[in-house]
Amino acid sequence: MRDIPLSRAAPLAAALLALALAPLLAGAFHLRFLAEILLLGTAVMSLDLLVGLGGLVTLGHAALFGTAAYAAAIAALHLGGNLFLVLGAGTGAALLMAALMGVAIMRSSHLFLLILTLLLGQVAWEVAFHWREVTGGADGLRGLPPLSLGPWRLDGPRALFLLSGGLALAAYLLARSFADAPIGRALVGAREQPLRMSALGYSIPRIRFRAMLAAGGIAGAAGSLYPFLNLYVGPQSVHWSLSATMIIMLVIGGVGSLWGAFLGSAIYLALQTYVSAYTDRWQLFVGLVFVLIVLLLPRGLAGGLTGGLAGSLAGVLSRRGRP
Amino acid sequence: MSALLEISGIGKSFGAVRVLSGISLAVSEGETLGLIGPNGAGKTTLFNVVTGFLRADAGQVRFAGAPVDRLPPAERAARGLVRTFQKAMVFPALSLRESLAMAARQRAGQGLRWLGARACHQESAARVERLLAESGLARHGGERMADLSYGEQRIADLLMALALEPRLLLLDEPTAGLSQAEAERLLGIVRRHDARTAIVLIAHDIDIVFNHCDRIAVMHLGQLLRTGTPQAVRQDAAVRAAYLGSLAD
Repeated sequence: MRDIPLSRAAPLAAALLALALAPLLAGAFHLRFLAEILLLGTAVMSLDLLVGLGGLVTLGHAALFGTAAYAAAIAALHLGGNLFLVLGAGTGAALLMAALMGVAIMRSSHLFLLILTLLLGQVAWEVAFHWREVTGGADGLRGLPPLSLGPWRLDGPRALFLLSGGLALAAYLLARSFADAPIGRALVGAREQPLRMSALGYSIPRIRFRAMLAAGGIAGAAGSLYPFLNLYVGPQSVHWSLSATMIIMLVIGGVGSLWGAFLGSAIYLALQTYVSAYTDRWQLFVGLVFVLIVLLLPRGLAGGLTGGLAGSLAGVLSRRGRP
Repeated sequence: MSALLEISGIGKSFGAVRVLSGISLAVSEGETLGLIGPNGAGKTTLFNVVTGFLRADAGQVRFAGAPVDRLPPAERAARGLVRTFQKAMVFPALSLRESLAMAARQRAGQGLRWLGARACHQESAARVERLLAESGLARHGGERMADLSYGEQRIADLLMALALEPRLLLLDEPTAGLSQAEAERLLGIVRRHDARTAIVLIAHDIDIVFNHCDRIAVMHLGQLLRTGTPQAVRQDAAVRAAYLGSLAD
């Protein structure tokens, strides 16, 4: 059996413990809040596949997440809230959007990639905002039926939390397997030495396309469940500013760690939820945290935590080793 | 012996500057061809055209009997037309073993696998360990490429190319910056790996080229000045005047 490094096992164990304890300790509001962190965190983690592994900074990720949210909501409104139907419709729509975006970014990088994804994201937003008959326009879609699985309704905070937790965990394991698989290593290679990768026989466009599909699928699964937290989806969920927010969450949590995405989402949403109760200028605090993280913890909270944990353990072990 | 690589009438200009003009050359299986000439002669540009990193303005490149002019670099590499670059291009964040495995997996057609990845790792591992053992770098297998010495990075770069099991290997100044002993070690690894592999070697170290190559092609100002055995090239008056000078003595 393969050894799992401490930097991966410790957060995974902590996450499993938190998932098990939260339904026993948290109230309805906090369970919904945690579910939102888990779903947005999953989308941010999928962005980490592109940014952290591939160096592909995109401003179109909200388009994947939001397209899935709309597709799931529309499917639920017309066909009911069956969990698998909703997940299938949302993830399928996100995969289609990812394929479109993947084709567009196959041969571009850096600033051009940023602008291309921004433009594609804006196209998705225009559709959501102006196609009133289908998307509800600026008002979005309300009155969604609750999620269900056979005879069980999944609309209580505990059920939504457990569903979001299960999806986040499955998505993390999937993303981790992607990062460790040949395709994940090839994505890192394409980021570091694209010319050398071409000379080794790798098609850089094909690597980018597949990475976009993987990220789109995971973001889409998270986006599929997102409207059912508040039984609403609006055009803000496909707007480019949500993509920028996801990048901020990722930098705060730690680019390249995958699990840091959940920390970044938690910090951002906590500031948004709690600080905004006292002041409208809560984004100033987000900016402050962002600057501090960039200056003091360039590898984000995840890098700081694993570095600190590893340092502490090394310190304890070296003290034990002394006569 | 039939030619593995056939280049005919290759021309290339950058704006008004003509860097390659009417280059025709053939390389046979198992042959080692030295490509020499002063800086700016067009040697690396020729490599770029042959491997698909640049498109020629004129002429044709055929590999293993088929034209490859319209193929991108990755597809040429997949057919066995493999190159290294003037600078060692390694992957700083990956270990030596990971980097070699990446090349070995691509050779096996598994470079972009996601599911069933563990089987891929096992299949490529044996080839990687053989290369590490052959090169004497086995103890550095787990080290990040960024942490290897310059000489080790150059060997690692070469090993990545060898992991693809090339039919033709184009080496662009692989010994630049290496000591004589390191250079001999590097070229020894190439020759021991597979005698059927054809090699085109660009190097400025004349001793290395004359000692290791079956034939030598001399380029000057974008043209092919002479092609022949090391002895014939060494004696050629035009080659001595354009490039070798007193180095030939």
